Amino acid sequence: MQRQIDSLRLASDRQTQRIMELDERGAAAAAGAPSVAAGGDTTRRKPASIQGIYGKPFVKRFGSGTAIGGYVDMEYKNDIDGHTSTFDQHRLIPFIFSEITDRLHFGTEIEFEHAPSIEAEDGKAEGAGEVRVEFATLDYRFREALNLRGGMILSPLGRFNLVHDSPVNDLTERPLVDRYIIPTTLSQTGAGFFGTLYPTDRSLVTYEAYLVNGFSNAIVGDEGVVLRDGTGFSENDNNFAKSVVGRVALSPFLGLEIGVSGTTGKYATKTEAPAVPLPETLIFTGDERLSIGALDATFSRGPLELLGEYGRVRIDVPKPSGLVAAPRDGYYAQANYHFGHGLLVPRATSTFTGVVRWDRVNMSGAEGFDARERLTLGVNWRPVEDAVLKTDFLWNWDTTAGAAERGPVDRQFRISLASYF
Amino acid sequence: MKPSVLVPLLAILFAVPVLHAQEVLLTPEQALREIFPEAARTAVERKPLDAPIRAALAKQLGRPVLESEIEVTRVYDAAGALRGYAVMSEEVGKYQPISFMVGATPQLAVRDVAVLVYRETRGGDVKRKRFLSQYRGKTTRDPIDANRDIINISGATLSVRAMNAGVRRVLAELAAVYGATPAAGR
Repeated sequence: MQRQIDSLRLASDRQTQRIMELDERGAAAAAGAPSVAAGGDTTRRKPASIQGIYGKPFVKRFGSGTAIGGYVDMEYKNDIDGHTSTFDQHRLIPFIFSEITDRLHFGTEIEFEHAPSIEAEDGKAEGAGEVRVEFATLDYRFREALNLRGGMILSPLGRFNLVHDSPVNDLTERPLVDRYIIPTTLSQTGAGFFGTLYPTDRSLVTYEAYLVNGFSNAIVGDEGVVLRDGTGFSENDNNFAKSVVGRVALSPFLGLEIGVSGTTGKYATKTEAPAVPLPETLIFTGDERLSIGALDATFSRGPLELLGEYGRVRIDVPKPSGLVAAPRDGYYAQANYHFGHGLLVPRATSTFTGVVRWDRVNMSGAEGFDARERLTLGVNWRPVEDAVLKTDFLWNWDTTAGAAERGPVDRQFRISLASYF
Repeated sequence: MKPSVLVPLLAILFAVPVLHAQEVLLTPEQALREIFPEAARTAVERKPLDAPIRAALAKQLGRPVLESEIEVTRVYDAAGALRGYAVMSEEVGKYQPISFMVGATPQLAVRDVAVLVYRETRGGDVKRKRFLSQYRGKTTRDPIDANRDIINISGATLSVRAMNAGVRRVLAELAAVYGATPAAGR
């Protein structure tokens, strides 16, 4: 027995020595040695829904733990039945991330959409495109299960809103539910907590819960209820009421994640009725509430991925406006199949993905239609995980407000390039 | 600031190593016990990886193999039967090396993989059993690749890629020194 113990101890000592050697090599690697495993490629894919900034790639790292990175996408859009086509430098999104201390982190993403060209004349900015801070947060880590987050927060409403980067997604166009039901990219100013728990060896639970400024009266306008028109108040809340937004996701085993999320809150500011109200005048009591709920799921097994999301909106509208407060909802279901690994160079990382997605939103007449449906077929090629060339065909059907059946098909074609940098 | 001053300053800034908290999860002895709980005796041997073997491995793995030898811990049970092999190794994740142990059956199928030291600040889910258990039963015949037979972890792709490359390499090295055509292990 003593001999066995000695033998194990000797083996342990040798392995400990090996670890020390590896540690020394690790220090050398940290000083600038390239990643052998990654073939020098420092990219990554599929940011975690809960991890947000922590799942993004950063290719330049400065002293004091500050890193920068980003992604870019370029699109060719051809509306076959509309006889229009255009190139679009759609998104240029730099990231900055900083580990101020081991526990205190800062992350931000600044969005430049459609190659903005904005000039200030007489103190007034004019131009095309869009520039905005998509999120800017300070995180303080107490432990893995409890982190404090404050700032402009990417709202944990559905999974897609959290994982919307173009290089991650396998189709060019975002799901309809994430345009009309969840106005992706949705970020709001507030504070709250997030974390990860491990109930068993095989499972994990992630959560995010925040108090935010919420939406505003601007979601109700001339075009009816348009959610994306009243988001993102960062300086002044339009009312005293705060909204809550949160998501809980369970992954019982690696490859399956089921998420439940929602937001609710009073969105309106009380408005006084004018002495002579016009028919189109909107008069808010200040008690109108907006609630959005979402369910999402992802499943991976071998080369197959299944993903989907369902969202539902409930909104109180000002009574005299004549707007219908019928709920609207929508979903998408998508299947991805990876194939052709190593068919093209670089053979170690090159892969193809075939994609099919079905979208449907029920709008109850809002924004001019009762329902919109879309079938998308796509094939994309990734030379490395974080760069993708996508080709998509889309078939769209609209059922206009009040129509008995859906209208004729509207076909579209997309080619796009997207990459982290 | 003049460029002549700015350039060296930036060079120093870039050269400063980023400090990370090193997370030691297991000692080698603990890892060995976790993978081979029935271990009663071990014997360590160093097997040379000479130039022709390294060349063959490089061709098989699609990348150079730099090690000139592999240190293998042979694990025996109380009855003296060989239960398998354990190899400690490392792969660089994004910036830092991940230290791990691969345990293989005598037929050179993965029995289990354990991460001993994880140094990166992100991607640490690869150290958990829910990820590592995917390697059980893998042999050199398996692709051991994300989106093929290994499920990727959101936000940890580089660490996943590093672990895949490490397990592939260790299995190939074991096959090279103990028999090029291991029996199926699953």
